[in-house]
Amino acid sequence: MFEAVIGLEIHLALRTGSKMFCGCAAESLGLLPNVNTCPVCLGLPGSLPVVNREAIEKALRFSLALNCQVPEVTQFHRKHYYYPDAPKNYQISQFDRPVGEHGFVELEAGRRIGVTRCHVEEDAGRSVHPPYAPYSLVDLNRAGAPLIEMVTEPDLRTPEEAREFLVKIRAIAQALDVSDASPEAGKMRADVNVSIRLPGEALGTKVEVKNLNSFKSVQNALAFEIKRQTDLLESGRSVLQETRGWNEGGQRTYSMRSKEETADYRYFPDPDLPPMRVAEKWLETVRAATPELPDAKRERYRELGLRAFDAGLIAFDVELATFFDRAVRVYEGEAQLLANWLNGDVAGHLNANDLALSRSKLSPENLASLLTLVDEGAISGKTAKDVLPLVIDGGDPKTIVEERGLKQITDLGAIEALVDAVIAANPAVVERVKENPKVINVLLGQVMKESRGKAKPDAVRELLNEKLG
Amino acid sequence: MELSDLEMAHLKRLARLELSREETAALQKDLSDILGYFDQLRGLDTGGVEELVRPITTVDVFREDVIRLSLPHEKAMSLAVEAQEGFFRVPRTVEEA
Amino acid sequence: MMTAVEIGRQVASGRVRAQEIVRAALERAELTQVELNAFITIAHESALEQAEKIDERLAAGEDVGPLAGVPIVVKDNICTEGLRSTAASESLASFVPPYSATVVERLEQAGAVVVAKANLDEFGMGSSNENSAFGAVKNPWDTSRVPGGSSGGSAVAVATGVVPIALGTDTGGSVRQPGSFTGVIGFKPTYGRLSRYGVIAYASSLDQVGVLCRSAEDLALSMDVMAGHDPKDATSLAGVAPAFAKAVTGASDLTGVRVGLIEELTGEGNSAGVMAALELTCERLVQLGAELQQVSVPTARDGIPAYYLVAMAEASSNLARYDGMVYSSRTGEDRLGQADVMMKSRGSSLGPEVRRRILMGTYALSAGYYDAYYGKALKVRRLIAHEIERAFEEVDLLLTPTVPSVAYPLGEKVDDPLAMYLGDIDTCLANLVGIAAISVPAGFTAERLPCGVQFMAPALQDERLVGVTALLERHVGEKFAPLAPL
Repeated sequence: MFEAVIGLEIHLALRTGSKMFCGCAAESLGLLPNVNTCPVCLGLPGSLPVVNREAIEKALRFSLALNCQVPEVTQFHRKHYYYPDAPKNYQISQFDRPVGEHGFVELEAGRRIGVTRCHVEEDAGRSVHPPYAPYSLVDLNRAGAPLIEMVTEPDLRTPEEAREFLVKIRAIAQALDVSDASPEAGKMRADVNVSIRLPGEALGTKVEVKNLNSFKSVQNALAFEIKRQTDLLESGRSVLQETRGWNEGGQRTYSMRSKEETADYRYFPDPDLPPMRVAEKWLETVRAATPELPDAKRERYRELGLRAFDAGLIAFDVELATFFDRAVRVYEGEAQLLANWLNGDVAGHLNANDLALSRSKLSPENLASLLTLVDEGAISGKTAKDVLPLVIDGGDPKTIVEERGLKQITDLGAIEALVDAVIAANPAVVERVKENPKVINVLLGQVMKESRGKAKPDAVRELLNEKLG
Repeated sequence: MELSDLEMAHLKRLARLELSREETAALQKDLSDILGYFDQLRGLDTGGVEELVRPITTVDVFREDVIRLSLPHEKAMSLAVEAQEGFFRVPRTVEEA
Repeated sequence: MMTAVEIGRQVASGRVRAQEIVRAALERAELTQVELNAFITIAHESALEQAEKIDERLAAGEDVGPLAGVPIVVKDNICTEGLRSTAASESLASFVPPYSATVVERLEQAGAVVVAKANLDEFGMGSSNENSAFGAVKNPWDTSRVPGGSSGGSAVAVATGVVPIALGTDTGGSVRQPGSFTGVIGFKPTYGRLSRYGVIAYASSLDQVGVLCRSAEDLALSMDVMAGHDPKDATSLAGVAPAFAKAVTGASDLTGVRVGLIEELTGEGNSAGVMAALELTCERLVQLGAELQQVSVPTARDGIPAYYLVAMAEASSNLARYDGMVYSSRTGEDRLGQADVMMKSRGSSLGPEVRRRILMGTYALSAGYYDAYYGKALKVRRLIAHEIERAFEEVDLLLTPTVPSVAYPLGEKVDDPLAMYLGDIDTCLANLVGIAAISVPAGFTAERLPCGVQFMAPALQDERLVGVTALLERHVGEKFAPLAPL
């Protein structure tokens, strides 16, 4: 009877070479602590920030992809709070003139989810809290790395929808080369706001849930919260407005009652950073440089004849889509066939061997070549499947077929000779065929065995049928 | 313009300044005096006037996305008040809410 | 005492060695230190090392630059690599920067040698150099009086002839005011003219590095060396800087130059000594051919509250980082937890005036008060900027006293912050609106205390100020900026 009202706040690590305001590397995963710092990101006295142009461009790109309105002038503000991994004790962020506002994203079934705003800011470093120690350890390698934060309107209604939204944002971010957007690598973080209400009534009390490390956690946390809030209201109690954490092990949210009153961030425009004009000309360059969005890709694949399911699968995976586009260019057969192989046998092999497409040696040209060999009848479908692992390992299909003599025997004369030989060698089986036509498969099998799988099965069957009536 | 005790306590927390009772009282008085003086601005008509944040405005100042050499680890650590295993060691921090 | 220009020439030509010059400066610094306390660090080792390198390079026939061997003093809130830079604060008492400010780099690249870091009001907050964790600085003309602040140490270093050029910082008058109190030139360029990279921030939209010296040609040379865009400072001006040296010899007099006295600042409220110095300057200007007139800047007297609100708000933000966690001084053990250790560290390592301004600035930015205080101050700032612009439509230079008084006794204003703040009434305008301003020595009062007057130029026209200073210097002659007794 209650409906859930859900909003998301998503942080994406921007894919640039250097940090937001200094020349240290933006990527610091796996580095020893404090090897990727400089006076600026350490917040040393006298240091000053200078904006990374690429970060703004990518933010604009993302903003436009989310259908946001971009301001004529955008600027940075200082957001004040004290925490050792934010060495200046303020974060350079955006307040009143963010890079994008009033946008939207469309999900399946035409559901339009509003995007309130999109802005850029710098990331903090990392703190490690050794158990039972009276101290914490701070690593500032990541301090100053560029982030995009996007906030949605509370338009989502179910945990599944929230998950779908996250998947879509990830796909867009990856397709646009704006962010790797993988929650596992810490490149995408989401906080949720959720309340419940009776349909048509005013909004209920909002609860924020943080520390969600995967899309699954988001979905589960939402489901848990909705149930928790429903139970509270149904038992006559009320929902407390608070921030809660998610306990992955126990699969429950918990209260994070902090000693802070509502934070007073004391925003003011950062005097060290001049405003940035976003002229139409710049936006045009941004649009021109923007890679194709997943939705557009999916449309294009449908037009190529792909089934909706395959089109979607490939369009929303940057690696697959890039591979597919290259293959389709050199393959003259049905695009759907390519899709079948990619999403079927290729995917199967890669998964079984824990291999990513990009890390395999499979080239789009070689896959196309393999499929062409089947189309031409040079090899059978089964042979193709058999040699697929070799092709995935970098082998050229034509060479493999040559070297291993895998070419299908298509010469009817040769096949007929084999068929005759098998018929002659198996008189008992031939007898049984008269009673049970299905037994012809045994003879078929024999021919295939004699030919080491290279006889064209259709031709064999046809000849057998002819000869045995 | 008097600063109340509550406001003073809140301010000290917001500014992360620990002060003795005497210091607090003295500062409370100073600040109240100063605020009173600042109130003189209230009388000025600034209707329709935009804030002037940066006296001389440069615009569109950017850095190209080039990676530059970071500080050597030892250099960064030499600045630390307290270092441990290559980290900056700080008093125990409560996990951020 | 040789000017920097002369020293540079003599060292470059081999007539005198850099090491001799630098050694003499170091000795003189030590001599003044006991009485005047102008320095926080006297850099014997590094200075002599640098001087030696310069002599070697010159011997090898290299061109070291126009400031070859010139000893300079740098205010201790400007970072110098490998040399302690404390901002006169307990909080940074052990801070040794891994880099130098751009302005220092440029001077050193031109051959200058940093012989000492000057004492100052902590983080630049003060007008008397009594707010230092390293003790107050004394005025060489009368050691019972303040030298002015916050660049008191830098001014004293120049006034006593330790060095010909000293760098200070000017946020509300902190270079010009001590210049006036010690009888030397104190110059604040247009905002953005000199890079702020490496300058420990007090108020980001107001701070500028300034120069203290005793001759126009030294001012011009130091500006020519330091000015110019710095990609590490996003507020630094793009484009070509003016040719300052040309402005020294440029004009032969002030014929056709209109000088406007700001009514609101040149009447009541100024001491007799200040008014006398102003009148004397007006006479000289007329003798040089200038046309004098009155102009009005109606909101001028509201500059102080607007200035302090902006300065304090920005300071509360810029100083938030001094929390004892990474590189600033820490008080308190781990087990007390982060928030408490931050509070103790800041409470005990930041001085009273700094704490006052941080609290005030925090208030001005806090929720519910932004519009009434910080926001309002920024609007008043724009009002004043419009009025100054309009004034410059009628005149080419503005003239006011630098400070309503001359140097006052130590301790007189330390417990009266508002009285202290009011001393900035003439100087804070230039910081608020970003224009260039200079304090030029204008003579001595009956008590033998120096007094300066202030000229202001339209934004980006810094060289006009160098020009008028050079003319006055030539006109007055030897008595222009005499050396203070040691």
